[in-house]
Amino acid sequence: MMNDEGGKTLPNSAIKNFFFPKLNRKVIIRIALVGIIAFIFFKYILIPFRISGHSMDPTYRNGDVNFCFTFRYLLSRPKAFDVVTVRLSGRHVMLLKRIIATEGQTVEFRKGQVLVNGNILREPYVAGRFSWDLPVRTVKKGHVYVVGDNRNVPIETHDFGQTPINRIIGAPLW
Amino acid sequence: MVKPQHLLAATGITAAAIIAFFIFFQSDTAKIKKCFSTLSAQAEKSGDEHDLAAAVTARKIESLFAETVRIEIPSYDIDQTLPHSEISSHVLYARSQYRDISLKFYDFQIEFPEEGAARVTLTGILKATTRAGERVEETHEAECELKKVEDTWLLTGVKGVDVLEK
Repeated sequence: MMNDEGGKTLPNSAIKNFFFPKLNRKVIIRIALVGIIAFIFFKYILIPFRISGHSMDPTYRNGDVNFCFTFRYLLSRPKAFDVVTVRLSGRHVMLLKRIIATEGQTVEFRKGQVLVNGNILREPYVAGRFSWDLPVRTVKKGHVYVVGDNRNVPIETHDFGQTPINRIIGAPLW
Repeated sequence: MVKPQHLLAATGITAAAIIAFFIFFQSDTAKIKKCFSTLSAQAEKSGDEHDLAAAVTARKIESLFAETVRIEIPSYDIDQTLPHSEISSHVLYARSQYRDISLKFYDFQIEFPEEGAARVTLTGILKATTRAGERVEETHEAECELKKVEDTWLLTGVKGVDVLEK
């Protein structure tokens, strides 16, 4: 039997063989290999995740789907303005935050403005600001200071602060 | 030559043996995870519940704890040791403040520092709606201490971990 497609014909058997090949040894090994590689790749290298919450609004919205690229900091260290994923006890639940300061720098919030080393940080990604106030503190060795982009909430309801670099799993792919 | 029916029978017997092994010989790790899944199931609430049902649930949750429990949550300035007899009333009060509750645990890391003791690091996600209709969503890492009493793992301590330090 043949299928008509724009004047050309495709044999049904070719399509069938492509999508449903005969299960011989070679095909089974190929399927198993693809499955194993895909499992490793999406489990350890490019971890799919869905954003739950509004902490990174408007840059990343609630319900968005993305991938955490775990090799992002294989050859470099996390730096200011990077958006990173921070692990809790494992990789099933992670926090998505932006680094605003690195080790040795001072961080302060004054009327909603972030001051790093005493200088106002320009943050074009922040849409609105509550009047956050937090006394000056120094980022500890081996730590980074992370905050969400959504500052349009009271300071008490937003999770932010310094965290060890070894808790950073990677960065979102886009 | 192996006959297909023999192969099928052997596969069936092996599968039955594996299932039986997991049912009757639960590892300590599985028992600990079961303890938390029971806690999660019992903590759950959807809509109003009868006082008696709430009391029974509180008792079931209480049975997961040892004679004393140390609760440490630095971010909320909580550090207290509760006797077993008080757990039920605390659970009852806490659950009564919410219209619906969902408590889930993920990413278990289980260690056995000594015989009959376990340390579990996990991530807990609490989603709830207060009586006033306010949505609450809290995600925390916690370190839990458990001890084995007559083949049952009981919680002796819960400590909140500050992943982000303001």
